[in-house]
Amino acid sequence: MAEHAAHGHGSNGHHQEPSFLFKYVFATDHKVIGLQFLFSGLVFLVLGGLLAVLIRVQLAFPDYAVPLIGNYLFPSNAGQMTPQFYTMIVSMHASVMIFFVIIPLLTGAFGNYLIPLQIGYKDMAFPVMNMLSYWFMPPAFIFILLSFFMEGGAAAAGWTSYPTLSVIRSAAPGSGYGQTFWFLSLLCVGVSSLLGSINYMTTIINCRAPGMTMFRLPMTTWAMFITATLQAFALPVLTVALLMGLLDNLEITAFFVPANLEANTIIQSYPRTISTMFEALGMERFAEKMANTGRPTGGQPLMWQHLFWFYSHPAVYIMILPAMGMVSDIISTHARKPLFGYVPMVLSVAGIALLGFIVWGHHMFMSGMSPVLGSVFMVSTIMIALPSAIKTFNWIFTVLGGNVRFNTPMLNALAFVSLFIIGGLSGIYMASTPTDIHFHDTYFIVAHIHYVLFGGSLFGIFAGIYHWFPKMFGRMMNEFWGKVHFFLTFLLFNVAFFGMHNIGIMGAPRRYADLRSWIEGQDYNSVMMFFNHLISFGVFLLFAVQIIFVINFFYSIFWGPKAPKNPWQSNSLEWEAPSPPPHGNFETIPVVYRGPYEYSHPEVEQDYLPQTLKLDRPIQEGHH
Amino acid sequence: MRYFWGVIFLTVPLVGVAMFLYSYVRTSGWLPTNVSSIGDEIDFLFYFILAITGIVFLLTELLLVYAMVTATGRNGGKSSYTHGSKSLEISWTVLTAAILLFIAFYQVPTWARAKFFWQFREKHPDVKPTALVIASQFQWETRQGLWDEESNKPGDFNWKNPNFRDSFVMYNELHIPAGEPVLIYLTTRDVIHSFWVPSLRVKQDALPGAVIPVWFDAAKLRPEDFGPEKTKEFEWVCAELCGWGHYRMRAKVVVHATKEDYYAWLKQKSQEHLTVKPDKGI
Repeated sequence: MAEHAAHGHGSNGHHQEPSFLFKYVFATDHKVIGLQFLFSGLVFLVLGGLLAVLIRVQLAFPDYAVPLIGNYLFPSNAGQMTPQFYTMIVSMHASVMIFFVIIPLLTGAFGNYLIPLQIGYKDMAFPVMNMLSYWFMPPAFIFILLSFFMEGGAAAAGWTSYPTLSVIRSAAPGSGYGQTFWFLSLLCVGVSSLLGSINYMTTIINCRAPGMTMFRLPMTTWAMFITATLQAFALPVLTVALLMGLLDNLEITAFFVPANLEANTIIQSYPRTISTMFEALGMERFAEKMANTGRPTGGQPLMWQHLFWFYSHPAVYIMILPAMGMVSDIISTHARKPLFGYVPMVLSVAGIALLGFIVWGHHMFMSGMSPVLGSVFMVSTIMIALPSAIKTFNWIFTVLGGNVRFNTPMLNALAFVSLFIIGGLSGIYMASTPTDIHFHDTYFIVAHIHYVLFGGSLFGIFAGIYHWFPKMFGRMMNEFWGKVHFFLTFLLFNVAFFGMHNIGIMGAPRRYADLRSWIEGQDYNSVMMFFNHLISFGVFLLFAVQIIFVINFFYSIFWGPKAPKNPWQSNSLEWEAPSPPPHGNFETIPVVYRGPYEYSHPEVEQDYLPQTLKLDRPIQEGHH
Repeated sequence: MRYFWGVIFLTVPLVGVAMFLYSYVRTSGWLPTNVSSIGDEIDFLFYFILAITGIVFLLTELLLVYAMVTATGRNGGKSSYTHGSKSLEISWTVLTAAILLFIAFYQVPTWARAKFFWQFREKHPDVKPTALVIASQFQWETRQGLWDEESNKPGDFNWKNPNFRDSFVMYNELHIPAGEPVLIYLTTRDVIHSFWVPSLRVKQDALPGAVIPVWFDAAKLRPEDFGPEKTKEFEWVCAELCGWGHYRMRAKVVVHATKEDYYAWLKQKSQEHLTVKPDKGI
């Protein structure tokens, strides 16, 4: 470790300034890569948000033409949204938000930016691999954006892309090349994440500064480390599933297609794709033989669900654990109080990760999977609420008795806790197999996922951006407009999403293009439309107020007041580097003397105690 | 400022409770009407979980707000210096684990009654399949008829040749008798669909390449609940995204007042269909 550090320090002096192309485009500097992930993630956040607005236009006003764009997009339907288009945007909203916004922002942007800074190293362990991990994303962006312009539009089989809907090309308009590009795009995202995760694990294990033991790591880095482990174990399974799905979708194989199907009565005609490919390769006889044999069958659609959820359930934790880590750091810093229960916090993150691998079946209670297996998954799934509950109690007890500074990062972090409580508790209804009979595939699950991924992850991302913005850009964001943005986002978020619980209890099915006349004869209609309008207007306003954030963000990058090295008087190592840190991060490689949470120590005059500060007398410190 | 933000954070539990109360009053009881025996158990478990999570929700949100408004740094502008408490950690871990384990295991019997086929068979060994339901984009095809004892061994169900006597096919309609356990077999022609009758509290995906037994009842309906037409209709929908027409894959389960009514209907219907040559199945 010391050897690494000395080398890192030594190489700084005679480091040659790279050209523009290699400094900002094909950059190997972890900070530039982090910002690349940040900016592309935010661009896709806008796209995903626009899709959400379109979804809500349709659900609130199913009888009206879509304003502004309706006449261009749906000329044959008098400007009204077609159900084909609706299923497409529902699928793409989720795909974009999960694979192009939340995962890249949390692990890509914050993971890259913060890990080397928080452990006190000049860069990632493998800088070139790190560069590659970003440059696997642009092909994914191109594939996913191109897929909208394919014949039949983008993928429309839900973000879960269940076969056989997604692999029989005639089963849905989006199941042609739109779906093919969806598979290709996600393959690229998967490779990107995999390269990143290997890098994170290696860097955290091998490159920590002298004195930085594992149990002196800030929670952000701990969470990134465990998330990277999750990704490394789960992503190969997704990659395999995507490849199988891709081959099935091209009608080459039949991993997920059983025999005797009659989808639209024409599916069994063979694979022009593959036979043309062999023709082009000059293997006409082989191509002809394939064309005559017909599509192979005999697969199992349930296998996709097992493989997909074996990745995608841990992926839910990949999308929340880094935010949990960041929120832990932010709450402790701005409450000026040591994190309550550091070791239980680390253990509960690890517990979530471990349990996260044995709960995937709870997505499949109604799927035809053995119900006996279902009851086992119910117990494991309900038990995963335990580490989440431990974390929540510890956050609240960190605030309790603190000296809270109510600034924008802190407010967003507290909102994370408040909303994650709802998201966590509402999960129990679906984890319980009997009540899941009613709640499966209703708006209740839509409410749950948005409380976890928006109320949780996205508020965590906002908190992280407000908190580390001074470090990233060397300038402060505007505090007043930050608070206005938080205030409106927090309230409108609840307006937009809380009502989904209620229509979910009434049984409103998700992914329906029209929710009117739900359960005729039970007078649900007026309540259903009341909530649908409330939710839709909440979403429209929620989307609109994000403009405050966008303006604040870009204005502050250029014209915000200059940020000092450590604007929040925080303890962890990233605040020892200049703002923004230069190539190589630290002027001298830091030496660590204590854990990151020594706030308000009674024997020290100031209310914080940086990890690198060497005291001339020994004092009684926390857990190590 | 801390009181301002405290009030803002207090709106979360307040708005939440208000919305729940509003929709409870407006829909007279939230959940769709339940007419099945398993539904009573499921609804009870819903209220049971609602009570536990509701209390935990209110307590934790209020504690968070309390922590926020009291976090003023009373130790001379500093926070209280603590890294945690082992006894607190152990007690809330043990307590939460106990509650969660209780919730989990308490629900297993209901799940078993709802979905374990061998439990159903043990309780109702003589129930014969009523229908074969075949989903396709975007309709439900039901084949109903009298169970033919001669050409079927007990317990067997050959879905390619269901061997219902005088069977006939209907679309988007499934007829069942009230008060009797009903067994159907469910499959699909193309993609995954999901058989969902909210008022019967039954949901099961139809899986390509598999034929899945599904059972339910309308046991809470008594003959006196029916009007002069002696049938009641319940919403039957697809719950799993099956393509662009997913939202319009809605049908009716028609419950007949008594077993005798049901068989009378079945007999009349098969008479009507006698002129039509039954197709060869799937």
